[in-house]
Amino acid sequence: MKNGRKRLRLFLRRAAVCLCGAAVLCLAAEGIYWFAGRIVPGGGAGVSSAVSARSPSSAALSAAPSSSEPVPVSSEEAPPPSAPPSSAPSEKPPSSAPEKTAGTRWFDDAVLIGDSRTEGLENYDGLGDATYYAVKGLMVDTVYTKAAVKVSGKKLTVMQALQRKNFGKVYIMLGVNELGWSSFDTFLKDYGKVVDDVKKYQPGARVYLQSILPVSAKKSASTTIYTNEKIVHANQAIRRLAQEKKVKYLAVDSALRDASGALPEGASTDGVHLNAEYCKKWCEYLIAHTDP
Amino acid sequence: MKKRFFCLLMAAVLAFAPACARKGGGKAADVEKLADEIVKTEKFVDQMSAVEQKTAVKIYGLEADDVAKAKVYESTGATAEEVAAFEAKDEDAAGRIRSAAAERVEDQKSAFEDYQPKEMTKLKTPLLMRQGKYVLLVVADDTSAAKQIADRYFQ
Repeated sequence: MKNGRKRLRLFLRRAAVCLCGAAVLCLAAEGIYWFAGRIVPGGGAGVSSAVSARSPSSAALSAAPSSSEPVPVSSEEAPPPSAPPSSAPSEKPPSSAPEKTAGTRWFDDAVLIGDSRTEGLENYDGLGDATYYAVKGLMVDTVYTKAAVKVSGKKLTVMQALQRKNFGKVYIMLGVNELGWSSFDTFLKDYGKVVDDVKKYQPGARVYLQSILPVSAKKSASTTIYTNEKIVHANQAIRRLAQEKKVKYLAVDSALRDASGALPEGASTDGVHLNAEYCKKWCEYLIAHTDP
Repeated sequence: MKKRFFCLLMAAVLAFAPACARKGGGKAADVEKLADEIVKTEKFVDQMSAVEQKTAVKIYGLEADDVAKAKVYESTGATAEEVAAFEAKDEDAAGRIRSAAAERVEDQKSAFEDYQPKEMTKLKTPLLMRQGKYVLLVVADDTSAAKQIADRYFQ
């Protein structure tokens, strides 16, 4: 009986030692895997248990808008897949965005309103802690109707979002998607209303109207709507509108066009949307044109 | 006899130790290298640029604390192409990041369907994977190369 208890105690002691050993080995193995993952990330073999979800879309495609309606820019053509400088991945390290300086801090209480090109600027993220209400295809009328700005998890229109938070500066760039409108006067009237409402909802803010950026010469030649001639004409009108509404006009296009007045071919894949290098130029222009 | 028994027990423990390490989190993967390799290998129509982690957190509507590490590449906006690799702080956070990535795809569908309908093809068949603490989203014409790379990293 005594012998039996002794054996049991011995067995339990050895089992405990074994369990401790197993725990140590588990931890060591985990460490080895972590280390191996850092050194040789591609190494290893086996069967993947990854969950792959190729979700079926329930979204129905709508017909392309006619030229009498607001036409989303760049819906005409996709960039060619064979353009080597364009398709090369830009390993733009995050650090290449301007560091937070006195210049970029200016934008901490700023909101930038615009279309897909302003979305690109948001991704570049070179303007401090600026807020962006940027929506693909945004126009002077859809700022009131397109609920696409996420605020606290809720989708709002730009104008609704503007009533939720106070800003010190409001930068607006609209107009390229409206180049297909049948009435230029309607565009100007609507833009004027946008400026009035921005001033109403943001009474303490400085308001800036940015010029429409040029498109590439190739893009301009390929369309009757998004031409640089039309953009120049629209910008002259936007400048006058800014004077009339007593807000600042920023000729951002001057920093991004080449000698012919077009967006350089290397600045974009589709002749419209800017790559990181040109987003940087845009940021630099805005930083250089802050008020004292 | 007893010694032989304990030797066998220790051998069994040694054999199962690696499996023990894999259980729960899977192999540790470097999401930065994963995203970089996908961008270099996969064919993208648009120019892909890396965005800052804080920007990625904002774009995906994530809680910053959920993300241990991230590498996200965005296109210029001409296309819906994108590569986003996240390492979450734990598996629960990875679940939230995966949901946010799925929501991002739906948001992009809403944004592109009238604007650039051609991009809907890519958005209908994204590569969205979750493995342990890791989440990967790739939107491209053909994501098969990205899938192979990801399988290598996650196994």
